[in-house]
Amino acid sequence: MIRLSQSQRSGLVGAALLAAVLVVIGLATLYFGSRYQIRLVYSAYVNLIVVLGLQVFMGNARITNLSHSAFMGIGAYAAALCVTPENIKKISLPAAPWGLADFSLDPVISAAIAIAITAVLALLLGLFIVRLTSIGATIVTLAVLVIVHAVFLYRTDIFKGNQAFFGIPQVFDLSWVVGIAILAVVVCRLFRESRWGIQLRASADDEVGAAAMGVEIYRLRLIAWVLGAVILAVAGICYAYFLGTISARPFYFNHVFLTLAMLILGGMRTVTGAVLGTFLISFGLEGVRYLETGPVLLGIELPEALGLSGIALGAVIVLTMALRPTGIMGNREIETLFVRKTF
Amino acid sequence: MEYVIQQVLNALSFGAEYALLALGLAIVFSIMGLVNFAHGEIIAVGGYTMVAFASLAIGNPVIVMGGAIIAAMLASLTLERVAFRPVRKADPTTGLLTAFGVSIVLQNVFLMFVSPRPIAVTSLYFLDWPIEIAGIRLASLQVFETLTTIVVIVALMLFLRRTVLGLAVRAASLDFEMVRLTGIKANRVFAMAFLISGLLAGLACIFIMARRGSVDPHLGFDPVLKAFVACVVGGFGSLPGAVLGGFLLGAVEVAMLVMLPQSLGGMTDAFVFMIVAMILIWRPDGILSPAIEKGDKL
Amino acid sequence: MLTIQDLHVFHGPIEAVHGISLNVERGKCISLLGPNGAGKTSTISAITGIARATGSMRFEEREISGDSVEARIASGIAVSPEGRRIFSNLTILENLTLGAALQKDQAEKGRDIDHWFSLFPILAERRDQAAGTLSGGEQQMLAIARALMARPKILLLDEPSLGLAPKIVRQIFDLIGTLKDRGMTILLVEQNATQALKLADYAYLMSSGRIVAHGTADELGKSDKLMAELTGVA
Repeated sequence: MIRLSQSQRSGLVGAALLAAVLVVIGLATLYFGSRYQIRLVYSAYVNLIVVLGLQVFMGNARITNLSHSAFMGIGAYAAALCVTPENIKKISLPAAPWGLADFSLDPVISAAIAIAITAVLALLLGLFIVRLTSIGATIVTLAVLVIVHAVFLYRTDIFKGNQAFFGIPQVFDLSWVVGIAILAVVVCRLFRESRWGIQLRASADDEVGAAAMGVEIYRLRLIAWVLGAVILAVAGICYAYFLGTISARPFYFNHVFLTLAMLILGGMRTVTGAVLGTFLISFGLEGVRYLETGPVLLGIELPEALGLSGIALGAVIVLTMALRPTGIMGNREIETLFVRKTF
Repeated sequence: MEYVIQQVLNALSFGAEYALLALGLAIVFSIMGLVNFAHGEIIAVGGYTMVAFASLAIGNPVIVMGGAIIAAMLASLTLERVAFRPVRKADPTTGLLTAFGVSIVLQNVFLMFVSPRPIAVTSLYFLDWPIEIAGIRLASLQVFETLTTIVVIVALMLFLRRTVLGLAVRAASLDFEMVRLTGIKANRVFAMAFLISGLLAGLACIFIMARRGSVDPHLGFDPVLKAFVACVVGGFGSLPGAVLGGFLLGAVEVAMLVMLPQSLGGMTDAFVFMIVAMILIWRPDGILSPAIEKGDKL
Repeated sequence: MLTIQDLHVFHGPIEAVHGISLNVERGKCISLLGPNGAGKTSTISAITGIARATGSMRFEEREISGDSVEARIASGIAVSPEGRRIFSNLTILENLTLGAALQKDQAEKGRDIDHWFSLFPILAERRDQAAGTLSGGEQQMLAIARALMARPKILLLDEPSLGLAPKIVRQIFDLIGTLKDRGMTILLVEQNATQALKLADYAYLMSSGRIVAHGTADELGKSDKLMAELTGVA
């Protein structure tokens, strides 16, 4: 039995509260939602897992990461390449090298392989990234995003670039992703409240001071980085296993900014912030998208306004940074809203 | 031999463009630690100004180019007032994310109020004609670009060394509060840095537009991404570093174009970014980075 | 000339100075003494407007507590801050030029530079060197010269002897003496009480954000409180 610290126990309480919210939203959608709404909520949950993966590194180490969508893409493509039936791959990837089109595995093994591949890649990159100062690290993550995207686009024989990679078995439904999102919430909270998480956050506040106290910053950053990448790979797998088709486009800048805005709005320092920001923006943007189509509201026909959702997204980031740089939640997790501090 | 000279000239003109943009980023970063990702949209503002002139049937190149530069400078100044002043004292991450937000807003404003599709601008084609000197073929635009960058660097150097405001901009990169304690108004220093940054973006805009001949909402994104990288490689916040990084990036890019086999053509950017990442791993703070102290200052 | 009443200074949520009052008369050298963390530098930051403060500050019969940093400097306050804070990436000449940033008359500026170079020959010799290459004592001189370039009505000197060798400390205090003899109004913040009291006409002793004693240099020099505060021995 793993012994949990005091802060981890209160973390579990918080995670349980968040899980309850996730279950309620999931069940409500499952029983009352239309097909379109289920799809919408599913993608919100996938983005939630992405934002959680982002939070593990960004929130604890406070280094802006821009490569998260790339890791999600790596996870998605790796799983898709493993799981897609041979007969489909023979058609869609006739020129695939290294016998990639000559095998197919079951979804669980495929997912495990995809996670392992992403984790190894993240580890290798992380060895360098964790040593850089904040802006330098951000630039390298940017470079990673550009490089990975270029590979997806260029190796059409493997990834099909901007065309659809189709035929992935659709093994997941909404209840799956709700369960996985809850698991991700628990993992993120336990990490945040673990000795590693606490030391990492301390070192982000005062690098020199924490180092003087014997905190091994690089190692802690690396752990958070790889853990984050694993969660991102899981998000990618969830994405692929539900939609059945993927392409390179969703794993690039637009998605990077979208998920970044979610984390920033909610507050990157807390898991609660990640959850809150994801749902606020997912559902808020849906409302704005409705306005974009030029609907008739209160008898007034509004003009079509393509770009409105982008403006809203950017404005959310700018306003959050100007008015409340630590996001809505700041340093508070959900349980502190209910329970009085006991220490 | 001629081939080599031609490629060197290519590298110079690529590098000149990156250096122009990187200088614009670096001058703002040096005084306020802001990584201004919205720089690309300043370029786009210049581009759309050209479109506006074209639709008014104004083709006078002086007006078109001057107008674009002035529009870029005004846009840069406006962003400082509206978006960046509230985060002036914030940490670099907050500034970076704000700039991202501004960039997204502006791109979508162009998309919504102008057009998501590219709009052709033909008024600057006259800048580009082929010339041949001693068997070396090159485009006039490349020559203009390289010369302009050299002139800009010299002018900037004179400004930074000979004027009080220039000295203040340099001093502010080290200790802004002390600059205020000499009685120079902080707002003037910020305004000047953004004005220069806008001017550099406006100049870059002319060359980018002359080459591409069209403007779309994402016009500035790719060039600024590269300039951003050039800054980091040179040492973020260092002006000589920005120039060095710009030309280095130009050289790497041309080298990649020349050396990579045709079949890997689509991977040029990937290789460029990979080399940049390796430079950073070799020198984490960039090649000419200003000294950074992590602890408290005495 | 400078009258401060009930000044409270804050660093974020923390109050560092709890309601002090002091007075600097024209042409006098007033010293503010006290141990580390007494609130001396906070007081200076409040006068220049860098730190948030409440209370009254009157400079030349005018309330300045609502003014911006820049406006206060323009009204004739100059500071040589703690830790010197010279612009190490600029040359010595450039540092001095920036000191006179508000001087519009180029000829006057040139005369001032020549004037201070004659008082600080060591700086004149190295006028085109980066200021960061100077020794600690030379940097301190540069910081004072930079402040003087503004032709201030009052000069705030924050710990000019900090971290300098005894011989250099004497040089710095000689220099301050010269400035005083020329009629400069000086507010001198120091931990080095012995040296400061030799120069000061009047002195205030601060401890834990309060003024615990004040008097002429003679009075304060004989006081037990001074020794007690500065050495921790009662």
